[in-house]
Amino acid sequence: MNPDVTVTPPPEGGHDVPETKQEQGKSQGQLIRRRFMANKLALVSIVVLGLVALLGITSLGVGPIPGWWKWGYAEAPPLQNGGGRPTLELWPFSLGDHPFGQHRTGKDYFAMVMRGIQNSFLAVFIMGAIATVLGSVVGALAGYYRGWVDAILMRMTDLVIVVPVLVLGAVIGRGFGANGVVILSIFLGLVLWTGLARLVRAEFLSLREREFVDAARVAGASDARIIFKHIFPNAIGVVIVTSTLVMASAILLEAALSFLNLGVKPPDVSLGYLISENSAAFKNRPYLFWWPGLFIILIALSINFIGDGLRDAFDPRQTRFNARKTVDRDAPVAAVDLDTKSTDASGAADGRGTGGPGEGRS
Amino acid sequence: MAAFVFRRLLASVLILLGASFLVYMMMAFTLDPLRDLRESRSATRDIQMADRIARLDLNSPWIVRYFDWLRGAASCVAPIGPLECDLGLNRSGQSVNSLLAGALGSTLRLVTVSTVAAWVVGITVGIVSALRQNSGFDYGVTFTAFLFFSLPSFWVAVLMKEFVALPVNAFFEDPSLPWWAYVLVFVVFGTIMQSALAGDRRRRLIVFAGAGAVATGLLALLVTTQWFLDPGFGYVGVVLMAAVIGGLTMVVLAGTKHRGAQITAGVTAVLGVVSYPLVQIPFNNAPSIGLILGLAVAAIAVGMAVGWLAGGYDRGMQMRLGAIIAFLIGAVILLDRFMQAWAPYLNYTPVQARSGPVPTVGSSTPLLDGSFWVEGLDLGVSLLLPTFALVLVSIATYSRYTRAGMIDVLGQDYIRTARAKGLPERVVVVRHAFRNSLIPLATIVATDIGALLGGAVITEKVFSIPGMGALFTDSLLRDDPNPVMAFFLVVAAFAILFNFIADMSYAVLDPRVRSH
Repeated sequence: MNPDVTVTPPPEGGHDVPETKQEQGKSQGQLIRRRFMANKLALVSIVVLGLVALLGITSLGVGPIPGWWKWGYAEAPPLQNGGGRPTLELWPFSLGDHPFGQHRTGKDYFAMVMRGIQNSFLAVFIMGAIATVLGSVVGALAGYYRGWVDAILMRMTDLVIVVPVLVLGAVIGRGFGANGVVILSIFLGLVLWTGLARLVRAEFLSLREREFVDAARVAGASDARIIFKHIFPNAIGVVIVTSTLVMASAILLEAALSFLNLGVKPPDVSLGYLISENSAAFKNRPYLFWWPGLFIILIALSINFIGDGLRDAFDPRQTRFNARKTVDRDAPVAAVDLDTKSTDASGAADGRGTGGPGEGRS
Repeated sequence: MAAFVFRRLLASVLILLGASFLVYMMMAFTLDPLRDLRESRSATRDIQMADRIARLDLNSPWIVRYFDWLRGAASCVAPIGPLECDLGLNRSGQSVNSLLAGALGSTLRLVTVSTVAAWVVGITVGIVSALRQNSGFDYGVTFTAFLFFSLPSFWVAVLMKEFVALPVNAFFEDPSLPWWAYVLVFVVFGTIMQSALAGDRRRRLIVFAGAGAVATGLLALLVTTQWFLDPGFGYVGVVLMAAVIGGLTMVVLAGTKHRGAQITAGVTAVLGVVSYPLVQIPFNNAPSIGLILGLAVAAIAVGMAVGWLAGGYDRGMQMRLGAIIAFLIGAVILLDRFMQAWAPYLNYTPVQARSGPVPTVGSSTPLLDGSFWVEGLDLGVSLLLPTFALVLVSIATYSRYTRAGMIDVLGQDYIRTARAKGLPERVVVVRHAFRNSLIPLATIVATDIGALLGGAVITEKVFSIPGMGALFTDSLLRDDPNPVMAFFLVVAAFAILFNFIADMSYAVLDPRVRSH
């Protein structure tokens, strides 16, 4: 008998070690939620985004359900208050008849801006959903099966990535802009998935080599089950973060297309269209220019901050890290970090094509 | 390696083919080149229609037209074989090749300056913000970067016309500033400098007051002497700038105690000052782009030679130092020459005819017909606002990527080693961390250049610049397929080319990638 073995028993039971007993175990989801909740900027952004959405949806209503605002976005009452100046008073607070003023045709500008917000949210969610589903599926299949499936899918991705998003979007907008925001957004969603596909593929390539995948395969799980039940939940961080950032660029893409007259057509309006239409009249009616811009910034900025907060929550290694305090960090983390980087350096760098903010807006 | 390059090139050509087919197909289904004629009531409508159908070969199926187009376009990408590069005709019968050439020139002028400016400012801001991580400066930069990501560029552009161009033009009508402008300059400059330099509260206060006072004082001096109406550095100014440039570059690259660096910086700066009156002779007699480029190369060569001749144990660094100082002083002298053309420029009739020296549309003043320097100045002034609008957005991107790369590098083991062996922080940052933090940026820069040749679609539209982006949107709105295809071809070909260069440069710069 070797005395060493009896002196240090392996800590299998866990109950022998006092430290682990005192601390309640947290699931991965709880940890992520807690880290996200600690990020005040992201929380504030969620609240702001929610309020803007609430304002936009309740004021005009959805479909047959009427909202609480008295004017519709297409009604044209006569101009009041000296040619349609805003009646909004901040102190004492009162909305008045036309708080954001009136369009030069007399249309209530508050209603038009609210309609623009509704359309922007609709566009962003449709584009985001389609891009997320398509990107995840393409990336997952390519990364899981590798070989010729990977080759074909990735060449397809390259094909779309080569053309700038704004160019594809413009051609699509020329064709489908008049068909309403839903159709336009569906087609735009079909060009925004490429960055996500590349990132998901990279994630799958490394995850499929892990032991738990082998275990599932040995247990007889089908490919579909391994992909969606075993690997995909482990890659969800990349998907969530990237699709949030895709949404932030989607709202700017929609605004840019509307600005180029390639997006939503009147009588329907979008925030980008309102800016485009009124930018020439800045001198006489600056309020027509400020409001839609303000709301675009609010929405895009909130989504960007939420995306950033999610990234910090899912991948805490990069942040809250001070170069001067490297002393108490252990080396293996850095080594792993370096390893994942070098295996897919070009993929990650290219991934910013559609995932990164600020895309399609120069 | 050769096999890899060949495979990549082959794949690129196939991707270009596939993408061009995709775009051509999309346009065949979405664009209707006869739309305007169908709606027209002109008496010659049918003739015009038949004319256009014949010109664009609209009776053939689109797939036949695609291969027709491809036959002409293929030789533009790879000039082999007997065919000539031919991108077809536009709707009204002009050759797309010549349209493209003009647009490409306009776009290159616009994006070159803004790209270089965005690199310099973005990388500097990113590095300072990484070094002061989680400080007020870092949070300020981060917030600003996110704000710029979220701003629609057309919105910014319109605001810029209103709040930059108009006040500047008003200033040249009546060169005086209100009191709050001075306060603003004081506060903004002081705040930025104190948060960038950091330190304890006392030091921050001193920096704030000092930097603010210097900036405000300088501004007041320049305004009261009416310097802005006839600007220029003069001999004293060039000497001062040379001293500042030489000193700062030396401190950043080599610190204050390096003997060879002191000699290099001093000699290069003196040579720069001495050359100032000398280069005015060719500048005035035979100005051209070639002359400027030649002088720039000569300046860099002289700087490197000085660094080499200074001797010592670190000649490579001295040569870099000399080259940078020489280049910067050369830039100052060139800027001074352009400034000398400012007063004559203001007196030209086409300039006086508009509401002020800074125009809000167009990429040059028509009917100007001035000297080389006046024409150059006009180009610079016309592109001022669009460049500014583009730079704002790009700075945000570059500063974020630089910051992330720098933080990543600063956390690595070899940086800890460098600190542990007692190197000063400046050496750790400049010589160990900075270079490696630029590696991931190389990829981004290369991809960006490729994308930029497509022009800044929105910026060009807002400022009415006849560049690539304008060619694209105008043609698209007129249902004109061939110019759109030409635009696509240029953008996609350059995107693929620069992606390729980015991958190659990654392999060259980062040995870890090569081993895989």
